[in-house]
Amino acid sequence: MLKKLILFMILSSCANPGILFGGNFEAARDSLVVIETETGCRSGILMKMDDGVFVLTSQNIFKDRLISIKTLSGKALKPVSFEAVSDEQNGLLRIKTDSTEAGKVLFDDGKKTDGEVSIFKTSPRFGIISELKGSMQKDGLKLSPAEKNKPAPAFIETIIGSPIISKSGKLLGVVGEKGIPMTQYRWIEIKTDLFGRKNMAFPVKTGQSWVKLDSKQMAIQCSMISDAEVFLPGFAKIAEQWCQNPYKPIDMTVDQPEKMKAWIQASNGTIKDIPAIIEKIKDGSGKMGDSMKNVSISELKDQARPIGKRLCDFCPFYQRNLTSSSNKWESPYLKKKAADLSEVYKAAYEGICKEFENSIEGKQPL
Amino acid sequence: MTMSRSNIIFFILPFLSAFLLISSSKAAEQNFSSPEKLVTLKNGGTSSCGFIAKQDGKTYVFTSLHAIGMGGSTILKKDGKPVKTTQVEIASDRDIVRFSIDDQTMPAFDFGDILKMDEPCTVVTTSLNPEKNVTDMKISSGPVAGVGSAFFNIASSEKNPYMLAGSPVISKDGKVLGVVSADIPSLMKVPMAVKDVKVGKKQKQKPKSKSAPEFNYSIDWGGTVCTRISNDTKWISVKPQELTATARTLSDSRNFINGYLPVLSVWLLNPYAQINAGDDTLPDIRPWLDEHNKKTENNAKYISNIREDANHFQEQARQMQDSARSDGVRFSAFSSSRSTAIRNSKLSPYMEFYSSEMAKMFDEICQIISARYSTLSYIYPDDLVTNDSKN
Repeated sequence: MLKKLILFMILSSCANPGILFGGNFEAARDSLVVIETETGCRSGILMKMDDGVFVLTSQNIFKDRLISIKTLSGKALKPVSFEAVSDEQNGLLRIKTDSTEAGKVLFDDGKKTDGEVSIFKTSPRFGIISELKGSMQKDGLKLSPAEKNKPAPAFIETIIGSPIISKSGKLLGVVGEKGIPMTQYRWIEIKTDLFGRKNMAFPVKTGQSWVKLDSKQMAIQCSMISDAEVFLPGFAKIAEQWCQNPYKPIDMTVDQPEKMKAWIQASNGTIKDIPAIIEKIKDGSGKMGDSMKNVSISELKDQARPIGKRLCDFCPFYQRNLTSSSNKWESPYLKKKAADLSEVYKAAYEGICKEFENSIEGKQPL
Repeated sequence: MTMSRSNIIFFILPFLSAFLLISSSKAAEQNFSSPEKLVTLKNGGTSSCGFIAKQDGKTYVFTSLHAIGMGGSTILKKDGKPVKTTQVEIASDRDIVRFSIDDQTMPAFDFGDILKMDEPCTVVTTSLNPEKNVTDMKISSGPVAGVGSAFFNIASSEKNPYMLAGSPVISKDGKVLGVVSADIPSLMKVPMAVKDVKVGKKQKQKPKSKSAPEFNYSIDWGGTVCTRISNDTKWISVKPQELTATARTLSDSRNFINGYLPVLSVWLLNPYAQINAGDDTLPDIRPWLDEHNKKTENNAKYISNIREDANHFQEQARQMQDSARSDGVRFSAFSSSRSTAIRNSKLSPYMEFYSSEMAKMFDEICQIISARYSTLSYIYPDDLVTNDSKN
């Protein structure tokens, strides 16, 4: 009976809704920091290392100017230097601070990496940190569903840079992103895989070697990569729609890349008279209608061809920019990411060039 | 089948325990015994909440900028008597307003200094009941669900947390942990198939054509964001009239979007169609709506003509496209003027941040309208309404 009572008390305490939010938070609280940049707030973790006290986060979060780094008690930390880990697969960033003290979170000993973890995400606008549950599995970081009976998210933008802490309160790594297919570069994979960005863990290990970097240059480079990453899915969606039928208007929407708006207008402009042309053909007698139809078809095809070429030309711009010799990449991770992305643009260019010619020849405008 | 005594106890115990848990949390809510520490901000028929608390040995009235926007800066005690204030200050980096008061003997809260994750807390709100001319008190509760350096979240079940703005967040030991602020609203996409759209109380419409947008829009008002109290807050002295006017601009913009969005939803579906306005349509957009309905009253006939003989009515189609486009331009002007107005709210860095973030929502609405009317130039009016049958 007593055993059952004790069991019940334990279960009752677990049923307290507070545990849903708490978990490791209070244990990690003194180590958590809010990093504010011009694009919003993200998390990092303050850790004591051999050569100072550092904030660990992801290189991906710096797309513009750093505004402040603050602990949850409101103390502002002054950044002294920025360093990246010298591993092209790991986008970890450490920022040396003027602080002499860090919180209680310790580095993981690296013996066991799987199991339940806590991820401390920050709301981008108010810098409020809350805890998300996830797990480290053999194939990487898995996020838990936000609600019962809902699928687990594969990617949450706002958790990039957030520390990943094991159940025993040890730091395993920080959240990064895997946004581009690393192995397949054919157009068909770009179209399907690019929309599936995933969060991944950048592991923190003892003995990692670090290279100093210029934070301003890193922000410029991250912004360049981010710009190319953000452009690609929007571009691919429009390109796919156009290639399916170059003679159908493309609806303008807010999420389309701004750079493509003029192109969409030009494409839509070439076909806006199609309904009137069709009516004119109907009006004409049999032969006259046919010859007018043939003339109109070849005119429309001639108009669509340069538009298709202009569509392809969006790719080389990014492809060349990302691998330009004038870029002195601040970290091996950024260099590799830019090179991968450039390859994707190259493949996209080749794929679309083939597809647009087929579309113009294959589809009849009238 | 008989149950042993221990099994019966084990069966009853969870229910008993659950009852105790619920009743203890209810008791915590109902045991709030200091209504005299709360104040009501009143402005005509609307009201909001504030509270009296001690900071650095001095007694002040504290509230939020959003509460001033709703209730103005006339402060009333529980007994309905006004509180005499001398100076108004706003916190530079967070959402707190404090009024210096003459009467330093008023009962006041103390501030708690530690804010813990999961800590259960209570939010007590007062509002004026204009019918009975008395102050109503509402209590809600929830644990702390997120902590930041200047703000925190509570997992409150309150459906409209904005109405709690200015209320104190009170810990178990009766100390104030923070002030309820307001989250920043943002646009949310709603799939058309799921949600019907409504203007006023009369019209319901479902998407008709494939050229219509796949999504409609609604507002995500966000969660219960609260402001932390800090001893090193920088205070900025402001004029009460200026503060009230600026806060009201933000409050009015929230009310505006509530009335604007349903009209937008109908217009986005089919810009050539009439919009059947309800009695509660915003007065601001009423002239636009009347003109839109006047311009579109013959559109059904014109579309039928175009469908019959598109070649002959080509010019008619062009005129309809131009008219719908200029209608869209004027409709988006409401949103862009709101965006400009709230961007001028710069009394403090917090207000500047909040206003610029809120203005982004109005800018996004402008872009949505602009994208829609730009597309219209390339789609014949009859295509828009008959694509379903064609495809």
